[in-house]
Amino acid sequence: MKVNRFTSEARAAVVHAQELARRAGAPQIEVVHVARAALTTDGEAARALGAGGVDVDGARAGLAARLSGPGLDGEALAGLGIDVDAVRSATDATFGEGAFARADLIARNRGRRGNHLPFTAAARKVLQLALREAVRLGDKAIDERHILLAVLRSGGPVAETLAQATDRPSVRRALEAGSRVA
Amino acid sequence: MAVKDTAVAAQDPDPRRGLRGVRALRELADRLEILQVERARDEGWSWQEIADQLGVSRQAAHKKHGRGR
Repeated sequence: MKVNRFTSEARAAVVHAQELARRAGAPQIEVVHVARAALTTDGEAARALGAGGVDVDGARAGLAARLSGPGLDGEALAGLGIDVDAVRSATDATFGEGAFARADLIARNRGRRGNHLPFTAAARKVLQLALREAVRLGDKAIDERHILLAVLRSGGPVAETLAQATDRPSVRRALEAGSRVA
Repeated sequence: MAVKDTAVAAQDPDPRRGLRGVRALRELADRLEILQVERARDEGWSWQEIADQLGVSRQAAHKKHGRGR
């Protein structure tokens, strides 16, 4: 069985991962961006996990918490007697709702040129492992399930976060269900 | 009060904590600067006027906040 393509949904997930990385002000596309994008609302992975009784929203929330990127250091500012949330609401009151977040994004994206972000080595590895997962499961194309399985297989903190939603074997089982060799 | 705390933190004997605090302050100031400069430009301020208020050169202000930043 030859696997040589990403489904259009999986391709969309990769593009989405780039968008998430950019929005978080990350310099590269990381595994967490790929994982979150693969868990998109109506994707294969979300469907499979939902059917398998896995807490998809919990998994998403866990990933989202890791997505925040290199934002303001609220802890350090609190140590300096500055309440970032208070600054944020005062700023939004003056400049309009969401102004502070907008300025944050502008600051983080400063100096970045072009639209293409590189993948981290770990994220690239995940995409390679996704191919292997598709081959292993006898699937013709790589979809979001294979990407998430690859995230789990790659180990690392994002895999931990994903597995926290439930136990890892049941996440794996849910994702593998629906494949021929499951 | 916040200013006093800041002064204390700036004297933090641990450089790791001290530098982290300095960076956090700079990043916070950056966000506020973006919004203030935006508003000043909207209200017709020149780059020179903005630069004077920020205590930087006109070129520096324009380079940081002008088009294509």
